[in-house]
Amino acid sequence: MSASADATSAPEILLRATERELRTERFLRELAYIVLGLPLGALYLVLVFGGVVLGGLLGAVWIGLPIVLALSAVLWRCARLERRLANRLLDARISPLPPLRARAEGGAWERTRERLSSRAFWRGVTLLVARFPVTVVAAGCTGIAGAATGALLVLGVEGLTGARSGYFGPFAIDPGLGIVLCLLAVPMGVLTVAVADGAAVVLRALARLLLVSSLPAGAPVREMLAQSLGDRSLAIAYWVGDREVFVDERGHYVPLPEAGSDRAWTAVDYEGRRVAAIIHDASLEASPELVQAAAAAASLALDNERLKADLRSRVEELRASRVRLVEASNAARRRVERDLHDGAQQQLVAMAVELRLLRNRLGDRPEATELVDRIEDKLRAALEELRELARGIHPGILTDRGLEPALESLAASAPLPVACEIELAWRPPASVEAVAYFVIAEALTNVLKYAQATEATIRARYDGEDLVVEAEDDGIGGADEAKGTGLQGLRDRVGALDGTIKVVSPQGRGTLVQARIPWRSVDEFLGGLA
Amino acid sequence: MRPRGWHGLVVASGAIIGLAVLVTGVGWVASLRTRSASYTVTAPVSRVDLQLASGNADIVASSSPAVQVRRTESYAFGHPARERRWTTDGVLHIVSGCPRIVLGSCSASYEVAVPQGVTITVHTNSGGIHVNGVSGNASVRTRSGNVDVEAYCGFHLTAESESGNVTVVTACPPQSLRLQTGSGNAAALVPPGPYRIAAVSGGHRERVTGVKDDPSSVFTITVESGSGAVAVEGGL
Repeated sequence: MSASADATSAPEILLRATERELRTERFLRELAYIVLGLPLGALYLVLVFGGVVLGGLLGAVWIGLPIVLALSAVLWRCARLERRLANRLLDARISPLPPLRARAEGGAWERTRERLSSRAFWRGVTLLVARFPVTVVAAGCTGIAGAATGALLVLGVEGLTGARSGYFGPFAIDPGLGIVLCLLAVPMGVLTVAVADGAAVVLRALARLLLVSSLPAGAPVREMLAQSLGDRSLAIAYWVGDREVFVDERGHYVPLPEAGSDRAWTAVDYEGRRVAAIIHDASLEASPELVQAAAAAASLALDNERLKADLRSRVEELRASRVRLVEASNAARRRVERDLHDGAQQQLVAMAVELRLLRNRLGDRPEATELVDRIEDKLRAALEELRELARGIHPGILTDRGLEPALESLAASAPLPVACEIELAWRPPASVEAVAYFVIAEALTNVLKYAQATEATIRARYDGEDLVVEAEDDGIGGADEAKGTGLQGLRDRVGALDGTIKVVSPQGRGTLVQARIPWRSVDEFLGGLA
Repeated sequence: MRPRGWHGLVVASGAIIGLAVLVTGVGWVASLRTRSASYTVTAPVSRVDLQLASGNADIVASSSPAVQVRRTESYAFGHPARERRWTTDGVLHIVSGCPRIVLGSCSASYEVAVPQGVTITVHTNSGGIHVNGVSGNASVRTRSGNVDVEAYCGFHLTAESESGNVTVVTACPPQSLRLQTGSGNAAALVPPGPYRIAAVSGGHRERVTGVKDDPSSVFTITVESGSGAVAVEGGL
């Protein structure tokens, strides 16, 4: 005995003990599933056939419908219970069943029809109906094997203790036969467990067949993992190595759940590299080992997904930086305009006032007043140029009063009649405002330079998520986008905000410049950055 | 998930149990035996008492003054039924018993020819009872099996089965006839009455035809069934 104990290493003994424990626990769970299935299965049958009878008898009458409706909800609860049992006791790993949807509106008839036309519902009902007969067969097989084991044991013990006399086949029942029967009870017991295993395999397959919602082939990795781990809320965060953060499929940053919260995460590595994290329910019915195993199986697919997510996160980052650039340049423009307005411009205006005072004081000295007049003219010209410059950089009226007054003043100062059709219920974000303003300003400049138009119209309105601004003229048309460098510069600025510019200019039939700028995304984006 | 050694263990267990079942089954079939023995009891006998553990009883009336017995036993694994018989005060006792067998088979059937007028009592645990032409009082009882009495011409007959059909045809009007069964049907065919008849069925399927029911008659017929049909018919 001591020799054999020496031959087996301690960890191996421990491992075997653990295996035995797991084996025993699994057998007990399988037994529990089978034994519970008998009363539950009978109950399901009563409910289903009761429902059929009630529905058949009362279906034509209005009171039948609420009964059928309530019964279908009960049946769905039973199907959910079956899922839980299969997961707990058979490791079936069936993901949660979707709620049985019934519209709040609509009469009882519509709701009943909608519920009864659900394929998942009928599959669940099929399971409920099949549960009893299949369980009876399973219980019968397991019971016979178990009874044989018990009989062998009882006979063996009775033979050993001499409590029973008689014959077992050709042999007299005595202690010797008792030992043999007890020994035979061991393989019979093993067979009993194997029969229970087989029954459990059949029952699990049945439950999975009828409760797992079928997924299209090539379903995303997340769906596959959610399905196999039975956690519909499961999320995957991909590791972006150079930024050392986790991002989601769209490339957005994902914070990992903290320890102790109701969410937990499991790291997925592929070939020694961190690939992703599976974020799942902390009270997941599957064990950590199971999550690890599922993660390992999906690691290659996850690595591919990670590359895509990495790319998307870079694109996202790029987009963010473009918006930040536009915003920064707009801010710089506003600052320069403000500085010009408050600094140089004020100085020049002050100088003009002082020149006028000087001219009055000079009295009747014609050569001197003539000089002062010339200086004053030049000063006025300089001031005007400065104003023009400031407006080109960023019109003050746009910052102070918004897009609508700015566009109206633009129209008013144009040397040809410009109609304004502006319907803006609220001010768009500053960066969108600026880009829209400059699109119209550039378009009007082009109208004056090339279009030989007699009149023009500018429009601004919201269209869903977009701010749409247009400038239209009745000129000669045929505008070539490639020639207008100003428009190309605007195209970049509009593009930075994910907007588009369209130019329609058929020969002889005028020109339409239209810019669509998504205002909401920019708003959210800037909000998110702040 | 599954322990590596488990599969091998299941296969080995299946092989052991399969082998054990096969060996037992083959041994059973190979050791099945049937043998018969006959004897005659010449001493005067007024009553025959047959107690069988397992086996059929076939009682016929004969014109011979001796009781003739033919015993047929079948058994497996070399453990036949054992018989004890003795005669006291004109009563022939025949007791047949099987050894206590957990696995195997054992039965002993009897064909007994009795002289006219001899009273018979038969009890068997499992097996049918067939009585033909007997004219003495008779009391037969089986726990599982049918009771079939033909051409009875005695005074008192009790036929019982716990789970089987009981059928009695009498050639003469019996003074008292009692048929009882737990879960089978019970039927009596008797010469036309009058009798005091009590036909009771737990399943309420009672049929009395062709006989006169007279509560004041001294001839009584009682037919009872726990869950089967009962019938009393008059005829020849």
